[in-house]
Amino acid sequence: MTRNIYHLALKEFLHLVRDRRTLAFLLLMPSVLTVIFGYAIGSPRVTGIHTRIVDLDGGRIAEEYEEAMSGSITFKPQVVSNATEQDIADAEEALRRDDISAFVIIPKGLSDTVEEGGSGTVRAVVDASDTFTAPSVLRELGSTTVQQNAFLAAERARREGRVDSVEEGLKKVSPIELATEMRFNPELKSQNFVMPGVIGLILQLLTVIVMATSIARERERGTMEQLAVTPLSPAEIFIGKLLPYFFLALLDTINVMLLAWLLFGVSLQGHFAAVAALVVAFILGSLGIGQLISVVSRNQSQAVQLAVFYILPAFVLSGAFTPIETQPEAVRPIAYAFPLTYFCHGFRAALLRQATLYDVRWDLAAMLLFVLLTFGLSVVLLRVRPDAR
Amino acid sequence: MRVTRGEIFGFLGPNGAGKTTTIKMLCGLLQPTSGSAIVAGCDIRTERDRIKRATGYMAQSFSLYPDLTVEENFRFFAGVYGITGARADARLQELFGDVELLDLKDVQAGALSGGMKQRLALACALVHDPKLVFLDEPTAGVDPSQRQRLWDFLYDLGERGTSLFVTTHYLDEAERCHEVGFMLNGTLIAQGSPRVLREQLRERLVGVEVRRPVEAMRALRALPGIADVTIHGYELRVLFDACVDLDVCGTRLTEAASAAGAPIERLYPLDPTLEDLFIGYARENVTPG
Repeated sequence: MTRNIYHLALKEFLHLVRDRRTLAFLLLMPSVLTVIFGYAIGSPRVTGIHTRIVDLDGGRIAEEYEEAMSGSITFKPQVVSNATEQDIADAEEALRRDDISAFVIIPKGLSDTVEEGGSGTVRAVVDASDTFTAPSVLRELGSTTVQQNAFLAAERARREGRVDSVEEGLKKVSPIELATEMRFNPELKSQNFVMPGVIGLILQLLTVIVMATSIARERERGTMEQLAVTPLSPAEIFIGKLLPYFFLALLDTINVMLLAWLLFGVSLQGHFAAVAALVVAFILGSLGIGQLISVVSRNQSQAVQLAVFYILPAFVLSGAFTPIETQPEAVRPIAYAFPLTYFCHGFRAALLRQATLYDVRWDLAAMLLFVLLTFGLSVVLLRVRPDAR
Repeated sequence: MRVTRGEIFGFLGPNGAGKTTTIKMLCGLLQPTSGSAIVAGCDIRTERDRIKRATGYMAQSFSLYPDLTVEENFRFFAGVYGITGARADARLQELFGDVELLDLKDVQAGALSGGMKQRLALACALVHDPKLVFLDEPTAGVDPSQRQRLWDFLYDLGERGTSLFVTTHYLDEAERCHEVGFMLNGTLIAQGSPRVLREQLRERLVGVEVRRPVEAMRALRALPGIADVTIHGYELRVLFDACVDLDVCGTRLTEAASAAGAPIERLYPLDPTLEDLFIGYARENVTPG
């Protein structure tokens, strides 16, 4: 058994080494993708949104509101002072042309009204066609307005002699203070969240595709028949074929993790046993899926089509980039059909929260189940139709 | 059918007759839906794994790894049959010597010519010294001198006690087999030594020399009692349904040809070839002998 596997693995390794271009691709692709994804999939927070403030008022309160908006990293506002009705029409046009994502109209006489104890309305017009920026704009404008209101109320309290300072007034008007402590990723670095997912994606891409084409290529070349007349068993064929790619994927994992650490400062301080077990189980599970795809494909192009058909939904649904919780309830169960989902979950826990082997046991168990299922099915199917064309 | 030890059995039949399928069942690649066979003492339905160790198989199309060298291909197949180390070295020297590949050991298999590829495939199929080797069209696309060398080697193998089961479309090769079988629509319709089979057609085959062979062929094919007429230059080979007397049938042929404006110049008995037999069988006009 071991001997046979060794000979197959050696053969497969020779294929890998002979095909220099593919080997280079398999070794470099993960690093390139890490860099691209690491930079591209940055903060989930939207910053620097182009906005315009149409100031019809020109008073102190309008100015303070403008300052508060300019001070927020969410906005990149341009202020139109001494504005007229025409500027409102211009802003509408700018919104339509997508020059700005929102504009705020401060009404004429707002400062005077408020100073006299009255109230007024600041209108915000938001481009809701962009479902990413619109909520950010609303949230940020909301909190800006709350802050300004509190400040004005505190000021009024001081003027009326109810408190001695504005600070005291602030405590009076907003008595609950919020104290936050950030754990595990205190700087809220998005790479810390995204990188474990990216590593999973890259490993999945690599393993599923190389394995999917392996048996299909033997079928296409007619060599599967020659293998089938030898005493090799399907299990030996699978394990032998998989070993070189398993080690290649491990090499790529180390490569990508080092790169994530060097370029993006992603923490590598997880428990070694948990990290290693997750990586091994995930690579095996993905290779298993590649194998299953290969067994049911007649040729390489079919295998690649099937592989892409599998990889794409996994890409979107597994929670590699965005938490599964951002998806509608109805599609969430689909995510659990991909080993990538368990890997992302477990790997994040292991890298960021120092989860132990015991903590990630369910993710591990799910992935090992995939290994067993895909291997079992592949062996059965290959036995049934060794030379299927 | 039976294949005698150390003999070369030629397996003939038109495309689609089921030759390759039969071979695949015999060497353990396919499970037969019905029927049975004993290969190298093993039942093909229940002992496929033992058959795989006892037989060799060389597929119709080149089925080795083009990116591996000649030696790597050989050592891979040696390895999976459990032949390693010094035994593998010895086997390599012996087989590569026989098929004349020693000088090409380090060449990538994909770079070999058609004949060399077939020799390598044969060496790989023989690596575990099988008692019986299945060769599915081993000489397809190989030039005549290479074919000659391959056949010389096959005879050598037979001498050493290996039985060979060969399919071919070259009927000159079939003539060189100890025994041949004809397959048609999945059924073995005739089996015997090429000489005996050929002799069945003696006195049923008449040669006709004629200047306008196409018209003559059309006229003769229309006659009753004639199985087939084939053109070979200015000669027509006329196959009758049953044995005929040359004088009696000659008159009929001459009359028919003259009527068609293609007068016959000469009539003579012909030595039957396997080709005549094959064509006759393939057209299903001849009842199996």
